[in-house]
Amino acid sequence: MSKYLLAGSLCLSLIIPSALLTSCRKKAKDPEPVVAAKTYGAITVKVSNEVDGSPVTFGAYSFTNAKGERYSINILKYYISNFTLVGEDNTETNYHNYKLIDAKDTSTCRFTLDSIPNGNYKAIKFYIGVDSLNNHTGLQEGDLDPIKQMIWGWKIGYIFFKHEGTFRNDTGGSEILLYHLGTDEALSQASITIPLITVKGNDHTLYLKFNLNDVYHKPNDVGFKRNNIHQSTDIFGDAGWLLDLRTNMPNAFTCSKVE
Amino acid sequence: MNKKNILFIFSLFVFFFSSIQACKKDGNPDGYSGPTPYHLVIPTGLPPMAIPANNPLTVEGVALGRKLFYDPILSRDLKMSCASCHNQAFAFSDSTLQFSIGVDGVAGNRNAMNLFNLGYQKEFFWDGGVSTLEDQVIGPIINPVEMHETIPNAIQKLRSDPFYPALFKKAFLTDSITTPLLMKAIAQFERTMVSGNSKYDQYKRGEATLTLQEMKGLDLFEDGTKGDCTHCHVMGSTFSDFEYRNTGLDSIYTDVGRYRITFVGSDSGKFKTPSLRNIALTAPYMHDGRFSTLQQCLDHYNTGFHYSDNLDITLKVTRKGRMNAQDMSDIIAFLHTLTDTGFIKNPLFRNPS
Ligand code: HEC
Ligand code: HEC
Repeated sequence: MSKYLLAGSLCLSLIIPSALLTSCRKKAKDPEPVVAAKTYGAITVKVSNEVDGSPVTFGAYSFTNAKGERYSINILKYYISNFTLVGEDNTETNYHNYKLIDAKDTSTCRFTLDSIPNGNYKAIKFYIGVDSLNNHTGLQEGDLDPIKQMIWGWKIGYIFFKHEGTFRNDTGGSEILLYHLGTDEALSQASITIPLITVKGNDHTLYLKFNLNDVYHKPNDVGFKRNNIHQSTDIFGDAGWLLDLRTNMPNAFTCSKVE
Repeated sequence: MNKKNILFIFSLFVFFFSSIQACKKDGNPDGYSGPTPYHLVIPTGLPPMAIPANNPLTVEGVALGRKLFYDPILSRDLKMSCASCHNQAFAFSDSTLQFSIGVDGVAGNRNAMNLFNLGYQKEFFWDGGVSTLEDQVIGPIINPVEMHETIPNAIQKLRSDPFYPALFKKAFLTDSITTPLLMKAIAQFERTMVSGNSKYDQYKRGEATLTLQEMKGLDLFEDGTKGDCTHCHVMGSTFSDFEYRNTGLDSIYTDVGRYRITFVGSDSGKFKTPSLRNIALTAPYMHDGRFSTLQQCLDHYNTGFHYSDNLDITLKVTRKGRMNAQDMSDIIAFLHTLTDTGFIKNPLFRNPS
């Protein structure tokens, strides 16, 4: 009898704290405990980074923009934030998330939206970049931690979109391509109609396609020649480029399918 | 009490204790009760300093920030620290260099700023590009003409250092060194760098007397028809309102200053008004270090400034040549009373190793 008491209390001392530990981690938006049918589901968003249908690869001159300039990619990173699901009845469910997509690291190219209320969803919205509320301090964790190298130092603000590589100039020579898009003025929002998703306590996958060439083409053509370095630092030189990219950016995303 | 009861009570105790621990970020097996609050002494004459709630000063945090400030570990070639350009002997500005030289031997295009009373400022750098001292830490580390290091490398070096993990743990009760904690530690040290014990401060407190010339200089400094300096370098306290102004150094700008941050046309050529405390120690002067003496600064305000649309109104309406040579010497004599030798010798701000 006493043996059981002892074993029992020792067990308790191990189990209860670990239960408490998990309860501490619980976020405010976690679902209410449900007894019968689940009233929520989850959607995993998978982003594929492409250039006109080919997957992004690094280093080689594998790509050609709409202006016929051959170019390469060494770094391709961008933020998707404030992901929002639009219901059939136009209600919006907003996830205050900041997701850094690094094309080189596929583990960063997916994220899951939890506890989506049951219902039909017809569209998604998200920012490409970081909203002004979070764009003026680097004292942040997770994908906004300055360790992600998506922040400037001379003026604190996030680099929303970073494409570094090279391109071939007229004489076939290799020139640097360095595009760092940012500042509050550069924030854009994509609003995309998706094949209707019916959440009924179950999980779905949403495939989002990003076409880099569209960033330089849809609808504004951006060529690299004599236009190859922009860091959103100097409005004289950067303004036209910044506005072109801001306009094109949302058009670079399409939803290819949902499952 | 028999053995099993003791064991039972003991296991209940373990349960209780570990459940408290469970809600803390990290366990703390050695019973260290956390960092000690740092008592910041503000000299009379300076206002209380607002400390951000998300980064309270602690003895351990300040000590860590001080070590980091002096440690070349944050630079790419392990040769340059913050103190390389911010030298205590010159009120934490860069000796006599117009432009500081970074790790690659390349010079920047601005004069290194003095560092004291930073906790009273709302924005940092000559153009106010960053709004917190915490955020300011990122710039010099990643700037190619300064320490030219990446944040991932800097953090990696700190994590694999034999001492830093324990120091971060003491200061922030965590096992992992992160960028926000690096930013916080250096900012804490910077907030403690208070300067308010110059001859002028002692005079205000009745502990020292100014010479006749210094007194005359003080009056001329404030006199609206003469120096008229206090419009911007507000008398007493921090000796600046830290606003952005165009003082007519140029009418065509190689450095657009505040405009780079705001993109507002009228901000071209505006720079943050610096404090004039310790000014005799921080030559050369102005954002680009173009003047090497205080006399040149006075000549500028007296006759040298250029007219342009953006020129500050105070200077627009002022008469060129309003000060004579004696007036200017007197003002310079007064400016020398703003030197705080206790500050540049304060062992609390010295290299800790
Ligand atoms: C290569 C020289 C150099 C190094 C190294 C350097 N700084 Fe600076 N510092 C400068 C210059 C130049 C400025 C002015 C920059 C500007 O306005 O663009 C400055 C400005 C500052 C300011 C702003 C002060 C104000 O009144 O607005 C702070 C704070 C500062 N530095 C702290 C640091 C810290 C902390 C480090 C180390 C992590 C550091 N600096 C390393 C040269 C340097
Ligand atoms: C209209 C506002 C204004 C007035 C009036 C003014 N200043 Fe300044 N002062 C500034 C600003 C702004 C700067 C920084 C300018 C820059 O670097 O572009 C500055 C810089 C200085 C500097 C160099 C500081 C450094 O750290 O490099 C000195 C010295 C100085 N002022 C002294 C004076 C004196 C003495 C007077 C009166 C004769 C005076 N100022 C009047 C705004 C003013």
